[in-house]
Amino acid sequence: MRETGHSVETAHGGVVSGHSTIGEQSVRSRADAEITSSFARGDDGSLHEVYNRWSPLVYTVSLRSVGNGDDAADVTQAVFVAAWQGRQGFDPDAGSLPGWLLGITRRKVADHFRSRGRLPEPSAEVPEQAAADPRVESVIDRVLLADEIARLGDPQKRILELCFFQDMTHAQVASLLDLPLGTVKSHVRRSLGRLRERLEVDGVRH
Amino acid sequence: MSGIDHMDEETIALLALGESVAGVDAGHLQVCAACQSKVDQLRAVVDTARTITDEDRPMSPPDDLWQSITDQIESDGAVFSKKPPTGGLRMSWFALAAAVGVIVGSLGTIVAVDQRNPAPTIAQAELEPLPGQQARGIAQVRDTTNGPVLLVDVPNLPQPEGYYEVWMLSPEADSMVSIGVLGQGSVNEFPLPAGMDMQAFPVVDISVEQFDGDVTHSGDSLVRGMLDT
Ligand SMILES: [Zn+2]
Repeated sequence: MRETGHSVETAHGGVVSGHSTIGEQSVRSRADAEITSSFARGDDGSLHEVYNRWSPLVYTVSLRSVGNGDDAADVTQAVFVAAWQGRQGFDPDAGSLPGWLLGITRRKVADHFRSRGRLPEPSAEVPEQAAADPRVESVIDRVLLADEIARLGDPQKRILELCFFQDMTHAQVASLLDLPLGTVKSHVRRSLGRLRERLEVDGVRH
Repeated sequence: MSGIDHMDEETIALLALGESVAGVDAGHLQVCAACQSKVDQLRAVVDTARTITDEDRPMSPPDDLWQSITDQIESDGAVFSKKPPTGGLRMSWFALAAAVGVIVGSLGTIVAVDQRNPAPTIAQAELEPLPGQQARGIAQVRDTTNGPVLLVDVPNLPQPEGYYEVWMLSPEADSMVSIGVLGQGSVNEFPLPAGMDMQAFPVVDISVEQFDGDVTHSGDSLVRGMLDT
């Protein structure tokens, strides 16, 4: 939260510094948009911002795909070097920057497996584009969802974790957290929508 | 569109979680591909989420990796600045935050983000629901260094059939200026056209528009409010 505690009078008359998920998300996506356009312009130093923002995503997908830290670091390095060298191929209108980085990650993970003889070279029969690795796709989805859940504020995060991992019903969650049923339901609806959107925006293969 | 009672989104979310929901017309899913497909989509998300383990949480790469990356880029002969721009990107992010100036609380409360340099609010309107509508929100005109911007904050807007467009209307609502299309998220910011006369167009209005190629106001408004300057 970037709250300062300083509030201004609102048309609603209230001055409350409440938790915000929608507003926070909006501010966050503005920061992401800022990094993205800086990178798309090829600004000096923009790769460092991109790296700070998205290297955990790329590294964790790499680590979960190739299985050890040294290889994952090599793959991550290859991804960011390729991203910088190929930055002119990034079209912000065609998709998100993290989605594009994950596209490069898929190829670098495949290169890694190929160098170990665990994947055939692309051929006329099996072009690289068609050869999705279902294990890597599933890693990407899980890491994106874990990231998005971590970014939910409370009580949304707690509600979803109880529903997902403790298999509680929304009524049990409401009673445990002492929240109205309707509040829990509407948090569940919005949070699931956010998770689905995250997969659609960043997880889709191009 | 009329005559069909679709499942509400909350019921769909609960079904996707595998809950049995009292009072739900289970037969509806068998006849309604639209609702069934919404349940299926969310259920795929839920099923994947339930397989997440601690190792799936994003973690940072080793500290020295950034150095290796910049070394490799430079060894390929590129002139490359490895430092983030001092002032550049970060400043513009702060300028942006100042221009936005707000985080919106769940109760629709505006909280200043950057009190060191807030863009002053020069006019504000409470956006009230039109008859039959639920949504409400706030509009503010802020005087940024790049000129005036209109901030519109309407939380909890329903998913439109079409899209939302923001307008500024004359007091009689007989002439108007299109300000822009409402994007994702609660807070939207629109630069106001240079020379825009807020006295002539003091009413902020959000309408539902169809993808019909017709650029005029649909007449189908959700919320509306008069700027007090
Ligand atoms: Zn239906």
